[in-house]
Amino acid sequence: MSLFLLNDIVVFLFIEIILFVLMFISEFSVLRVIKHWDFNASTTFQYSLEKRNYLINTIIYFTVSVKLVIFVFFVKSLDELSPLVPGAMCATGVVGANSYGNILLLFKIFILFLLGIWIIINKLDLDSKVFPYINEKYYLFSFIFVLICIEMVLEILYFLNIPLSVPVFCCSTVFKLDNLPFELNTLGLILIYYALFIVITLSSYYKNNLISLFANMLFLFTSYYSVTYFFGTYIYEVPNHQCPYCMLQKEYHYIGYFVWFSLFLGVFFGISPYVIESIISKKYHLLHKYCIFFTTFFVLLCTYFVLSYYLRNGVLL
Amino acid sequence: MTSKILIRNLYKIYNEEKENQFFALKDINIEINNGEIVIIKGVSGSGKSTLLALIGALSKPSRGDILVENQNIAKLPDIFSSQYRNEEVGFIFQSFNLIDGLSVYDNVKAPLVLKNIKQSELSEKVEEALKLANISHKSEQMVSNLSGGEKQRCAIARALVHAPSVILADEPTANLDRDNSLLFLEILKKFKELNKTVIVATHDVIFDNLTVADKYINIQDGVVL
Repeated sequence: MSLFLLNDIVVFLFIEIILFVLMFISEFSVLRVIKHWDFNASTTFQYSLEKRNYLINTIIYFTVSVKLVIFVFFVKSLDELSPLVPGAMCATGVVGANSYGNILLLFKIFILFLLGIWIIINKLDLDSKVFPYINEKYYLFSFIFVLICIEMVLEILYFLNIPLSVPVFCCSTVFKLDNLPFELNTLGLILIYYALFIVITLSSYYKNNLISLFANMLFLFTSYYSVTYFFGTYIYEVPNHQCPYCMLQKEYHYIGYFVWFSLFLGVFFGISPYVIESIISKKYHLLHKYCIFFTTFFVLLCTYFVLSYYLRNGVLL
Repeated sequence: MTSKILIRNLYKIYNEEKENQFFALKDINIEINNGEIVIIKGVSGSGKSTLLALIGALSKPSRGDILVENQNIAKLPDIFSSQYRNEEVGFIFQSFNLIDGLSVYDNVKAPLVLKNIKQSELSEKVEEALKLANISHKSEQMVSNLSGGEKQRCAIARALVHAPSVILADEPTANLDRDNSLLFLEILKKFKELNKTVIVATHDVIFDNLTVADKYINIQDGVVL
């Protein structure tokens, strides 16, 4: 069975199952809290709910934190699977090995985003003496839990269906330059990339949540293509090596983790002020400065590889 | 006088809704004014210490409210309960609960360690508390070398050092001889002068008919008589 291709996968799934069971148990109490919570009451039932809330909040906080951390482990495991999957040179082949891989990866990133939002709302809730956002927090958790159930199914289907005899496509086949959206050329793409960076910095500086939301969503989309089709080639120092995954490997000093995580964190902190405001009707501008920090780090890191190559070789790729 | 502590319909039930359910406190209603010295009397197991633990936010009730300066401390989340204890309450325990491996000075300093205050201010506060509890002369001594009475005075200094508005003393004279117990009564007068709200839970007859006490509350089987 492909599920047992690698010890890492077995360990990963084992941790996921433990987290799922903990969340499943917590969800029962969460529904109880949503239904019966009345902080002004001093009844025996309300006190028992408050005690239970403390316990389930701790369990959920733990599981959510672990889920964020094991995402890195998941990505690393995908990369380490590549020597075992015929035709795969990196995680590209592994992720695209069946129809579940790409959906699972996108699903995971979306869930991570929601878990991050949950952690921030949880912090705001616990910072107050009266649990002002308890319902919003648990409604959000219940929604995330439904997604996690789907994710669990996708994970099992994905790992069970990795083909071991049929060759998969490698990154040079999957990512071709003519795959750029809206018939953009590379120059146009890079101009949009830097323009969006300026918009994000200004919108974050002036704390405009709505512009920051749209600019960051566009930036995520643009950055994916920019890194894959332009900046990546400078990381690999090969003009036709276009792949978002190879940079996660040891040969490239695991630089891909810094590239992608700084992008995701920047986008997360850029989008979340608007989302949090929509959920709990409270402005939380503190996140904008993290958005500026991570986005700037991401842009500087990408730009560094281009400049470094140019300064060393006197030409661009 | 303003109401400092208001307890309404307070219950503490252990093993609730089980066969061995036990009511430690039943429908307690008490009002304590600012600066009052209150003596809670009752035999062992009557619920005195449970009541003190609830007022000190060391545990949560099963039902009812405990309002301290209009804030219901029974509903505080854990982090705020700790903050309340650290800022508002000084505890004096029967068994002193001092750290044997530290000196008197360091024991008294302990409640201030986590507060962000200057070293000079910290020393000033510790010395003031040691003086009030009449234990300055032993400040460098290790706690393990002290007598029972001295340990109790060290515990009193520790309870006072962060200037709490409420002092809770649970059987403070249970491990003291008569002379030291009388000394504790003298210290109660000092608390009165400092306008501290003091609640003493005791079954010691030495606390009977004290002029310094503003209120006596008798508890039996978890019920205020």
